[in-house]
Amino acid sequence: MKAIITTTGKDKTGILAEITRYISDANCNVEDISQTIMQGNFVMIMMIDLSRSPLGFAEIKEGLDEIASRSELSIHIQRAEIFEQMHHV
Amino acid sequence: MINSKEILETVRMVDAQNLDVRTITMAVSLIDCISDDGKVCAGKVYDKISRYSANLVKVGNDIATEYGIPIVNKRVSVTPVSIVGASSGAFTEIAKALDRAAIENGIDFIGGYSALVQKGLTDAETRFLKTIPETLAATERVCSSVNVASTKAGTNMDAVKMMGEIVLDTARLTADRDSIGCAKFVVFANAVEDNPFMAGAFCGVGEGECTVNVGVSGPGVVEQAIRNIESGDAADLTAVAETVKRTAFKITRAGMLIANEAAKRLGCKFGIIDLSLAPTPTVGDSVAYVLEAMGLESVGCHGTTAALALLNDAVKKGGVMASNHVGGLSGAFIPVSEDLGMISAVERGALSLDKLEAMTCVCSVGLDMIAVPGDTPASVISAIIADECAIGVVNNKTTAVRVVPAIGKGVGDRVDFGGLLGGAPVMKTNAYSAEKFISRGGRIPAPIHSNKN
Repeated sequence: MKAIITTTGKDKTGILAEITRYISDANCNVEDISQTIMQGNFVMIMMIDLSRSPLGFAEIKEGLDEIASRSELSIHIQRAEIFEQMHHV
Repeated sequence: MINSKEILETVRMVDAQNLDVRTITMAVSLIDCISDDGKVCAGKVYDKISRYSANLVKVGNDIATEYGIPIVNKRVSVTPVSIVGASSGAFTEIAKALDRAAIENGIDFIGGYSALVQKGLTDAETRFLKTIPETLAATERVCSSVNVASTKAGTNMDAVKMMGEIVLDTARLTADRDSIGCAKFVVFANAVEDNPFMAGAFCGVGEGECTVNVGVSGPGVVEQAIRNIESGDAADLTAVAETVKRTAFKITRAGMLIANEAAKRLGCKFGIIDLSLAPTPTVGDSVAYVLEAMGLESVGCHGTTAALALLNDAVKKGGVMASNHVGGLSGAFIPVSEDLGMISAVERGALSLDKLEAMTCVCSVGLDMIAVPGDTPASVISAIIADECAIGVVNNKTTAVRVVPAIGKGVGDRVDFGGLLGGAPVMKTNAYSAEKFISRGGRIPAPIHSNKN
């Protein structure tokens, strides 16, 4: 299963490191990543593959929610099909 | 590959513009529960609902987590109870079984305490209709609807006359809770058999064993899309329609994915997607604001009907492009109590009951969640219903009436239901009487254009 993680918030050091560490500890593979600063806001979009993770989708999401509230970021994880469906015919 | 603009657009739709799947409604046929023994029938109904819907809430929550789109309600609709209970007459027992099954399985609402009487009433249906007020007062989650007219059959005015009394009795029996019973009761013309939205959802007799119908909403998303095209010179209305259509397409595609996934996990068939812009009393989730984004100073002003017609049509076109099975009501709902923009328009005197009636000629349903004075005579409520039926029957569309006589309150007072049902100012009705017209009863014949065979 593939999922997209979207992280937005105030730019500060270590955001990317913290999220990728968490993802790799969960045995998810990062397949694509893009990161920009838009009007002072950090925006990172990451595509991951969860198929080898021992954790369920909900557990991975909980972990990301924890990082989000600790680091005052907004982090979303959504299955990739939703974007394909909505934006591509 | 998905690009970041598309990803951020979807995230923003959910985060800032209240995109949600308003409901996953499981339509369950209860035909095989019919028995001449009321206890047996109610027992079978309870068992069947519990068996089919045991996983409904869990599946809904799981899908919402995985796709990141909230699924607000998990509901069940059933075969009209007037049919299921005709043999036993145990309508109330069946309603209690439905309520118990809903509460125990975490289902928000269960619809189908319904009757289809557009052409005539069986003896069982007459007895059934009389149980509606007490059933709505005694149950928590059961919703009721009655279809009293269709383009093919015309309008059953005997039933319309009864409806005025039923609405008033329901209001009186739930007067201590701002007449909330009336929020769970709707009268239809041209009712659809696969509607996932309450209070009017029921599982039609032409439906299968168990079907998943999904209602997707998103007035906030459409409003923002219209505001986004307003850079520099105002865009013309063709551009507005195009924007609404494109947005509706995206929302429906999201709904399709969720509907297919829900049907697969629940082990039943996918039925339809109902793309209805259904407002909630939350800031940024209002159909009125969509119309105002098009350029109206206040919803209710001249031009509102045209703007709503454009919106309703563009929503349908976008939806139809996105799914082969668009059904239910699909379009724009215009409830008053559930829409902050509508409430404000009534309060500032811009929106009247008469204008709302005109708007129902082009919206997807009808007069919805409107509070009227508690001393409104039954014949006036019946006359409001008759007018809506005429609009539905003649224009070949679904229309409905869900009015709440606010017992003990008058024009300018407020009713408050809380939650998604919101609250509304009590609106003025016409002071002149239609008593003699309504008391005539009989049938208003079907219009000439219904003869298509």
